[in-house]
Amino acid sequence: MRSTRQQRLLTSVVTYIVLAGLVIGALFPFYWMGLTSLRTGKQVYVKEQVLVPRDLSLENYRFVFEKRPTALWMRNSILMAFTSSSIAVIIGILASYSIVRLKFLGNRTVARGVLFTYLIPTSLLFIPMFILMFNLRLTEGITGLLLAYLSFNVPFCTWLILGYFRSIPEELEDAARIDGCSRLGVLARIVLPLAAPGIITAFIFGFTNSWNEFLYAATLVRDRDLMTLPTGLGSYMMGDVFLWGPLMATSLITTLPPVILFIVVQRFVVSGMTLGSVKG
Amino acid sequence: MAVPASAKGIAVQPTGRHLLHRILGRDFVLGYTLLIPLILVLFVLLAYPIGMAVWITLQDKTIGMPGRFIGLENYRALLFDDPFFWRVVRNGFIFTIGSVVLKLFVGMIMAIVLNQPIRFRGFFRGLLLMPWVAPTVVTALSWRWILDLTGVLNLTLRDLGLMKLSIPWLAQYETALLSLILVNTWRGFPFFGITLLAGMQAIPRELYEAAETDGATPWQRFWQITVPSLRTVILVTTILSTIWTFNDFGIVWLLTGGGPGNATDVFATYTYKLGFVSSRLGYGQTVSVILAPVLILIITILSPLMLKGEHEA
Repeated sequence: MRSTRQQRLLTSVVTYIVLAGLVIGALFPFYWMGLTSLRTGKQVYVKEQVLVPRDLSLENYRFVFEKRPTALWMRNSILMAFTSSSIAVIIGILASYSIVRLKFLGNRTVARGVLFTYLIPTSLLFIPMFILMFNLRLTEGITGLLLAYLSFNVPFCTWLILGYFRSIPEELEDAARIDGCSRLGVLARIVLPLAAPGIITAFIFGFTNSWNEFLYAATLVRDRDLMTLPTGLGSYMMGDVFLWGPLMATSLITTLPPVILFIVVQRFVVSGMTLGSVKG
Repeated sequence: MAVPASAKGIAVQPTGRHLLHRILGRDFVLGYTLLIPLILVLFVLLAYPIGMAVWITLQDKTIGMPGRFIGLENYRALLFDDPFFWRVVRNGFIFTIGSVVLKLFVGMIMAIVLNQPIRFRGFFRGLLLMPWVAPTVVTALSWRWILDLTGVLNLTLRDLGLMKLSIPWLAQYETALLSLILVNTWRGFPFFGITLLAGMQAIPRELYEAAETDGATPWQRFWQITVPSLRTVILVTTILSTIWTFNDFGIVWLLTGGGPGNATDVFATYTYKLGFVSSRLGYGQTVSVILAPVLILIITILSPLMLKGEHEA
């Protein structure tokens, strides 16, 4: 029988080997994307320098900003993601406080409704959403897209914030109310500061959801200058020849904002993933 | 103020506001007021489209034209006359089951590894989360490039002498569906990994120590302690992922476009093709709505599990 120490060492070696495999598998596509984005012309098709890249240039990045409306797409993406998640978080805060703390007929039902609508996939709704926005003459601008984004961000953010509000002890609020604070005063002065990590998490998830969204963006916006980054990327794919260099450059630009957001607040986000989707 | 009627032992009919408070609850005025924006969104942007989703399957609606009521004709045509529908159903199930099983498997490995006493755990957790954070469009395009006929995978396999000719991974049915499953697994495993890891960290250490004293092997400890403790987490994560995978659009659309031909179409891409490429909105919507009973069943199973925390807090 092996000694415990030997076994520990073996476990540790295996752990690190598996971990290395997972990390390489998870990150290689990003590495390859970055490398391709820094190569031009026939260089793109060269494989020999996988590990030691040479002859790199920023030409593709210049191309996507000068010859394609990448800056516009970026602006649209930021505007969409920021606006829709801000509105969703505000609606979510008001509704969550009402559902969690106030006593009235139907608050349970509303919570159920929020969960149900959060689970309804967009693939079921994109055609009716298109008809709705088309009839309201909202497919020419980006208002229609903004409303469509609210349709998934509002239930989603509300569901997350609900979970956080439930975790705040009610006694803290009772004390403030005895001291003469109003309901809304309690919400602003006690609940919001305590739930701040949760609210930030909800905002970041909402932001990322909108930033990454493709199906509504592909069906509700026609004008090329009004596209977001994901549909802008899709527009490179007309015809048979793909400009892989510029395509990967734009991909990298599209990936960076959510990745940076997640790195900055990783701790909050991980707790949000587990709290929001998996309760109990 | 006079002594309240009830205090005198006389039953009185509650009137006006009192009655409302009794029926609607103590805080109904503020409660409903704060809910107005949410209710508006739920009704205008969700309930109404859901209703319309069902309604247009009963019409021959096309883009820009008002639809005519045709009863269940769309359903009949789809189930009995459509050349691709049953293939789409098959693809949908293969794609979903294959992806979810693989995601659970790889996610479990990720969770087990990260649950070991390793250095820089937070850092590695962050790195492994990246595939899940990246936008779907980016995932699809970067994999499309890797799997391209002139892409790095084919070049590497040829250099290693494993094959003579490049394989058109995305252009032939079998490898195309397999590629879709692998890419979707790559994107989705971190979600499993993170939730399973959180579940594992909540398992009391004493359970493992006791089992170790009893001489249980790591394998036994995994099946007899870890898996049973994670039951709810596994169930909820798997069901959530099943809903998302079943309805995936981006990965399939941007990697194969449902092709070659309609060979790898799934529900969402087929709906899109019928609705926006052929302009038959009513008929296309029928593809999604026909699945709604399955979806509602899944949500009905899932909801109580996710609402569990509600009564405890």
